[in-house]
Amino acid sequence: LCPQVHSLQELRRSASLATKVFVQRDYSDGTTCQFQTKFPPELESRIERQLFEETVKTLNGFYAEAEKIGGSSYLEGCLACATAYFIFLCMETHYEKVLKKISKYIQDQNEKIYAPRGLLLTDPLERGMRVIEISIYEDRCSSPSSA
Amino acid sequence: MTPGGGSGPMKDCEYSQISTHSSSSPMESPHKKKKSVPKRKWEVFPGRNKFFCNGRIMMARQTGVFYLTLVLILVTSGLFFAFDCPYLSEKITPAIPAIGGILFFFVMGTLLRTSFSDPGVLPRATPDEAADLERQIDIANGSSSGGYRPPPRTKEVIINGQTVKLKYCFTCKIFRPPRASHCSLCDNCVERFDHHCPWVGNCVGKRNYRFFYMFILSLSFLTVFIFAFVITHVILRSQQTGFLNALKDSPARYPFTEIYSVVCFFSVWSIVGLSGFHTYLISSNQTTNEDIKGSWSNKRGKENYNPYSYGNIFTNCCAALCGPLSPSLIDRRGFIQPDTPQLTGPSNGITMYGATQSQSNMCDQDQCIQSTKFVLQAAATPLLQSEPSITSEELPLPGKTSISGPCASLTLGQPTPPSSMPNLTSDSGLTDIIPLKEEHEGHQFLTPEEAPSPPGMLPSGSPIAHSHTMHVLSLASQDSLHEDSVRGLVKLSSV
Repeated sequence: LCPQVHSLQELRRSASLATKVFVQRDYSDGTTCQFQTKFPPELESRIERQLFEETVKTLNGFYAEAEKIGGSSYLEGCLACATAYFIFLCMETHYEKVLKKISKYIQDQNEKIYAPRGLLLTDPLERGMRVIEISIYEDRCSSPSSA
Repeated sequence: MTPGGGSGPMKDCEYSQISTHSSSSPMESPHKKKKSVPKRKWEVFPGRNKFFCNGRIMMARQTGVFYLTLVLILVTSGLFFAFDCPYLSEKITPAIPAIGGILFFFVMGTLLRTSFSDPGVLPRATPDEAADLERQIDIANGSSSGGYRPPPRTKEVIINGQTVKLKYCFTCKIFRPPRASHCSLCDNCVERFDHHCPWVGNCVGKRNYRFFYMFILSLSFLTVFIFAFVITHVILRSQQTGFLNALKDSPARYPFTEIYSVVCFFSVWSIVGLSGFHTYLISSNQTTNEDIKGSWSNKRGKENYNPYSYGNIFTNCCAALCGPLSPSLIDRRGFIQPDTPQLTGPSNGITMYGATQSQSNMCDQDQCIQSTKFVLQAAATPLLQSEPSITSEELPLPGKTSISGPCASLTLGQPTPPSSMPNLTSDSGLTDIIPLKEEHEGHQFLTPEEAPSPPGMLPSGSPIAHSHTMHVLSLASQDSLHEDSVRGLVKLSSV
């Protein structure tokens, strides 16, 4: 993971931040965590619409999976209740597991798709699940060192 | 928005060495003013919370009543186990102290979980986000009467066919998600805000509602249990030796028995009542906040229904109690990264700065310009103009004889005039005033320290208290608004 992070850091070094675009939450389905798939106009020239939409849709799918109310979540809830919630001290919740998956996915997307186009996705978790922050960088160096 | 501050790009070209392990370890940056031990995020948390154990425990600022709760439970249970259990376990069965013990541990566990955990606090917007939102609001409202009225800061969303208004929080600079509310005691926006409970010393929100419910439910069982067996004990003894002799039996026991019987008696009614109320709320998937305001009641109109309800009681209960537990969004124990923007003030998104730029070096000019804009807007508006469209759901508290009436006094989660930064005060202190008139009423109502009263105690007294204080406040609020605007102007002049 470290070398991959390094290349994103180099992106920051060789480029300067031009602007940030924020993809807001979509509350039409209630309080579940979903993001709007509307394509921001600032990204028009930087990335293909389809790639972007796919990223957001996949993220939405992950969040839906994390918040799904079904058999396994009931089991986890009942078990936790039976142990007076002490079990949370040692066990990782289903939600946390999915969040780790999301973090890996975002890292992956950044390396493969967004960094080469001078963009950077920020994990919504770092922004309180309010927005997907997309940083747009302008390359100032002639030879960017990022992959 | 004027691009590029004067002082900003000074540090553009200087980058600190970013180590590859930067994500979770402390970093030394030459730009940090304090070159001491790197701080954890809880140390600079903007809300009014107390943190213990290096950020692991999070509570509200006033914790006095919480200690009272602890003492009441510990002392009552302790006396029960010390004085009644030996006799009862001999006479009836040793299962009694065993069950009592299990109940006691469950109560303590859930109480501590409720009190110490993050209720679902929404972190405040970063300066870039705030600026982006401001821009969007300006675009949306710029053409219309910007000179006469400040733009209404609400968004409408249709959830399950019901129109829900999302309000803009001036303190946190975000549009609150549905069901979120701002707690003025803790100065945080909390997701699925239920109420602020002084008895547990914390807000009750999305992340700790189930712990809270289990706490009051198990406490109901515990108090009924203790009460029942204390009575049984006295009855059994009086069968042996006569009633008065039973009470006088041991000089040590006599006063304690009476005292904690009385405590139990009152607790039983209030706690059991509160449990019943929350059972009703869970089964209809409402929060205390929504119930008090009557957001989804039929009285508002035939078309009004709760869009969050799953339709049947069982699913609602399961979703509230056994649904997935979302993690804390505020990352209390994380280290502050030098390249993350500090929440010092509004900024325009289009700023040229390097990755290590600290936001406190932001152009003061931009802040000045924004603040001035708001001052002019506010000055052009009569101070006491209220927006009926925004405040329509902020009904004055109905004289509702609900069990959690006194607790309801603390559900008016309202933004407080921000206290941290002069820049923030100038714009939000003034724009706060115009559309959010009775939010200041709510704020005034909450600051008196005597506000917390036992939940469920004297429920009949509470609606009267509410209506009286609201009447008094409507007179006082005008003064407070005037005061706030003056304060805001004074602070602006100091920028």
